[in-house]
Amino acid sequence: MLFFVNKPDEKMLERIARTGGDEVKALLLAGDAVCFASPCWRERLEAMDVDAVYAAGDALAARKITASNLCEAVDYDEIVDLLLGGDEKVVSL
Amino acid sequence: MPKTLTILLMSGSAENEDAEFATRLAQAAVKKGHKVQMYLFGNAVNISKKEFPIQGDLHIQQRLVEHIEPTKCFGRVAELTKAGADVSTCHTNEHARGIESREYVEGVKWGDVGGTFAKYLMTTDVLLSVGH
Amino acid sequence: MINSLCLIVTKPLGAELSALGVRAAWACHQGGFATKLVYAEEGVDCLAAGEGYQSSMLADFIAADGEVFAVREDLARRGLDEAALPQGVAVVAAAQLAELCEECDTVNHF
Repeated sequence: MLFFVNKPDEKMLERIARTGGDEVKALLLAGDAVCFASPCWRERLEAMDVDAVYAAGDALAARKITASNLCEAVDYDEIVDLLLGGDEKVVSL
Repeated sequence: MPKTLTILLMSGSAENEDAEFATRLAQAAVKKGHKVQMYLFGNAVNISKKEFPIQGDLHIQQRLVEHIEPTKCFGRVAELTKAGADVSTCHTNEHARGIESREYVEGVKWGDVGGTFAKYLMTTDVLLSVGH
Repeated sequence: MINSLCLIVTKPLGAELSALGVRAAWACHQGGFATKLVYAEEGVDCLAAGEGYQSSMLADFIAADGEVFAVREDLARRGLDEAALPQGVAVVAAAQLAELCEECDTVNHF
């Protein structure tokens, strides 16, 4: 499941857990939600079965966030591929 | 293989980064050969209308102008429709904002959630909703 | 292709987004899409109203065999009585949400 997250509220993590259950999850972070790319969130995300985090590169750069090594910065072309390149269910938070 | 992405955008210009993200994403998808449908819902209807720029001195600090200008989406929406994206609005949300009779950005279409959005869904591979 | 949707309303009655959620659910249902409308977080407040636009839309949705759910933990957190919910709203535990979402091609929060 690919979770699109654009809000930085911790509530988003609860939504991911509720809607994703035990499924393996990937996150696509945009805007203020790129805060979840920070190393301080990594452990919690891994405990939620998040195995990949993709963060919009322009949003990371604007906030000077150094992403954890669970996270990959992506540009818009790559975001398109994430959304349309496979058969993952997309959950918009 | 080209797919169809429908973006349900529910934020307008300036209030957050949703509209900028959604329109830039849509541009990238169109450029890659995918079909894009965008339904402007809620505050997003405010990016469906042509901008009426003020003439003369803006009386805005230059650094604020430089901050604001890239976030405006009107030009990107026009580019999107010109490139083949299908962009429609919820006319009832326009009505709620008193802007229903104002001119649309070129290529944007009048719509409603029952007719337009549901119709978009019929040919959608991925639905992405972007709101706050 | 999308054939089924789970729309989750998380905003309270006064936020336009909650109305957008129920309107989208109605449109999808009428359009022939299998639609689950879920009220969660502050969205459960919408179920207490009893009258007004959203309540009437919800009544129409239920009358047209639309599936509506409310999250038990969120109802309890906000002091809402399950027995006072509109008829036709099924109460589910938060742990059941994943199953509801699994059954749908797309999940979207309002």
